[in-house]
Amino acid sequence: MFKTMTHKKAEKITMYVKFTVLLVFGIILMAPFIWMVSVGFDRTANIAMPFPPRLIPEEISSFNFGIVMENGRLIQSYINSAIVTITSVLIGVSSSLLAGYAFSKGRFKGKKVLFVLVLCTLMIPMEPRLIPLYKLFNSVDLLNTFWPLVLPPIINGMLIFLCKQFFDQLPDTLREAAQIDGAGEFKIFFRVYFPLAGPIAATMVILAFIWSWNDFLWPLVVLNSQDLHTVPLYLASFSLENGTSLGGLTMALATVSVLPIIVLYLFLQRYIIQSIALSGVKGE
Amino acid sequence: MVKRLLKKDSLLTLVLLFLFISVLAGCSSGSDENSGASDNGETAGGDWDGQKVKVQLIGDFSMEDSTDPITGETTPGLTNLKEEFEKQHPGATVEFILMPWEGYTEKTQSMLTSGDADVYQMPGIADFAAQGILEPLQPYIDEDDEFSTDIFIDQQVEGWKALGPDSSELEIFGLPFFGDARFITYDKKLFDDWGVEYLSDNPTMEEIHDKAAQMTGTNPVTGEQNYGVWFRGDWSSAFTLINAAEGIDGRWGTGFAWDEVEFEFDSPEMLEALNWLLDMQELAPEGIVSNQGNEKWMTQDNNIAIMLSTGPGELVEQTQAQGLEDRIAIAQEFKNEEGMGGLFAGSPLTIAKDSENKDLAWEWLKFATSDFAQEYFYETGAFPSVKSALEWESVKEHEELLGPVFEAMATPYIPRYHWAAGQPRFILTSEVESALTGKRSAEEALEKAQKESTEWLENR
Repeated sequence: MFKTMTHKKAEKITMYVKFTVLLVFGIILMAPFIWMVSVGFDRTANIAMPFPPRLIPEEISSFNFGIVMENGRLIQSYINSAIVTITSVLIGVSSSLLAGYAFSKGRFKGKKVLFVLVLCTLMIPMEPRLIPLYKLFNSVDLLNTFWPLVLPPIINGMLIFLCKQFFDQLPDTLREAAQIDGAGEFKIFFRVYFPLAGPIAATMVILAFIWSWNDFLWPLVVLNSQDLHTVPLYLASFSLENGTSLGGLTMALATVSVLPIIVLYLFLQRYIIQSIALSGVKGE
Repeated sequence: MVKRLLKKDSLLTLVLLFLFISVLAGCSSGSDENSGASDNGETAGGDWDGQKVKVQLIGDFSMEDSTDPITGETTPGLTNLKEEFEKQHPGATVEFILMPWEGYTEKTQSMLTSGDADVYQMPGIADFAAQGILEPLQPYIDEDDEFSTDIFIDQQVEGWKALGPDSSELEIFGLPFFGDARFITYDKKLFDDWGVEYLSDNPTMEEIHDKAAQMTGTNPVTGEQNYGVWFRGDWSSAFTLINAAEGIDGRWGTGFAWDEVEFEFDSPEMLEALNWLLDMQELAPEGIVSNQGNEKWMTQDNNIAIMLSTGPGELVEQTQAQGLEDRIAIAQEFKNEEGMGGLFAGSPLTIAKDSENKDLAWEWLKFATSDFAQEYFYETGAFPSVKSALEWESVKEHEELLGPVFEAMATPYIPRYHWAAGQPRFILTSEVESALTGKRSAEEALEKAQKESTEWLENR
C-alpha cells in the first residue's frame, strides 16, 4: 500500500513537472503574440517603442486600430484577398488534380517531356518571369484586374508534382477495372481516384491558400488601383522608406492581419500539420 | 469537404465552380477605377480639355484625409492636391497611382514597360535614365519662362542628374521632389549633465570622439548609464563610413557611368574612417550591428549623447510629441575641403519618355514643386526640396531644428552614391559589419569589399 502511494505521488510529481515545463514553454511561445496585441493598444508606441518591453500599455487606446480601419481600406483589402485567394485556390487545386492524374495514370506521347516542362516552372523564380508575364497580361488588357492573380496558378508545378506523386501510390488496377466496366477517363477520375484524393486535396488547398494570401510582388506589379489592393499590399503601405514602420501601428496591423490565418488554423490545424509533413513545404 | 463534393454530380460541380470563378474574377475587374482618380475626365471647357496625367507616388499616401499616427491630427488626402491642380489647369485630370516603398523598383520598371503612368517619383533615377525610358527635362526648363531651377535648395538639381543611354555628361532627368539629408543629432541635456560643451556646427571626427568619450559612463546627475554615441552598424553603416572618410578628404571612388566607376573602398582615408568607427563602437551600447541599444533615443529617458547619420523623417513630430524641443540639436555631418559630405537622398520626379501628355506632365512637375504642393507634402510628413520652405510659418516655428537640416540638404556629397542602389552597397555594409563584429580586421574588411565590388563591376 505504501508502495502504491509512493508510486501515485511520483506520478503526480511527474505530472506537475510536465505541466510546469509545458506552461513555461506555452508562455514563452505566447509572449510575442500577447506583446504584439499589447503594443497595438499602446497609444505612445508610435512615438517610441516601449522599452523595456511591457505587457500593460502605458496609455491604453484603440487609436492604432482606428487608423488601421480608417477609410475602409482594410475591409476592402480583406474582400479583395478573399476573392483572389478563393478563386486561385479553386483553379489551382482543380487543375493540378487533373494534371497530376493525367501525368500519373495517363498514357500519351510526350508525357515525360511535358512533366519535365512543368517541373521546370519550379526552377524559375518569380523575379525573371515578372516583366514577360506583365507584358503578356498587358497585351490582353487584363492589368489592374484580378485575372493576372487567378489565372497563372492553373499550372502550379509544385501542386501538380504533389498530385502526381500521390496518384502514383494508388494502384493502376483501379483504373483498369473501371475501364473494363466501360468508364471513360473523366468518370474514372471523378468516381474512382478523386474520392481517394482527400488528403492530398486538403494539403493542396492549404498550401495554395497560404501562397495566394501572402503573395506580394506579383499583386503589387499588376494592381495599380488601391481599391483592388490585397491585404499584403495594404500592410506594406504603412512601411517607411528604410523598411521600418511605426511600432504601435505595425503591431495593430499585424494583429488584425493575422486573425483570419489563426481562425483558418484553428479549423484546419490537423491538415496544416499534415500538409507540411507530406510536402515538406511551409507556407511562406 | 471532399466527400460532400463527391455526393454531388462531379461534372456539374466543376461547371458551377468555374462559373463561380468567372463571376468573382469578372466582377473584380477594375482597370479604370483607379485609386487616385475620381474620374472627372469630362471636365468641360479648358486649355487642357480631355487631357489626363497619371502620377505614380511612393509611400503612405492616401486619397482621403487620414490620421497622423504620431500626432493624431488629420492629414489632408491627395484629393486636395488633385482639385487644386485641376482648378489651375481647366479641363485636365490628374490620376494617382499609389504604391508602397517595398518592391517599388520592380513596380516602376513594369509600369514604365507598359506606359502605365506619365510622371514617376523615382529615387533610383540613374538606372532608369540609362535605359533611355525617361524624358530629358532641360528642353522643358529652357522653354518655360515661368520656371527656374533656382527655386530648389542648392545641390538638389545637381544631385539628381543622371546619364542617358547616349549621353557623355550628366543631364537633368528629374526635378527634386522630396528632400532628405543626413546629419548628426545630439541631446543637449546629456551634454549639460556631463558639463561638456555642445557640438560645433561642423564637428570633426576628433571632436565627436573626445566628447563621446567624456559622456560614456554613469551620468553624474541621474546616475544612469550613458553612452557617448550611437550609429547603425547594419543597414546604413556603409554611408556612415564613407562620410567619415569624406571628413578627411577621402571618397567612395570616382565615375558615374558603370564602365568608368572606380571604387576606393580600401583607401587610407577609408581605413582611418573604419578604425574611427571601431573606436566609436567602444563608446556605444552593445547591439549596434543589430540596430539595438538605441531604444531610449528620442524619449525623456534617453541615454545616448550623440547620434550619427540621422535623417529628418518625423524629426519635428517626435521631438514635439516627447517634449524634447529644448534638448535635441543638430550638427552637420563631416564635410570635405569643398564643403560637401554625407549621403544625398530623397526623391525626384521624372516624365516617362513614352508619355502621351508630356506637356501636362511637365505642368504637373511644376505644380508638384510649387509652394502649394510642397507645403502640402510637408504636412503629410515628406520633406520639401524648395528654398522657399524656410519662409513657411510651419517651418519657421521649428527653425532652430530645421535650419541645420536644410543646410545639410544643401551640402551633401555629389554626384550622389548612385552605386548604393546596387550590390556594392551591400558588399561594403557587410564588410563594415565584419569589422564591427571582429570577424575581420578593418584592413582585411575593406580589401575584401574593394575586391568584391570591383569584381561585381567587371561582371555586370
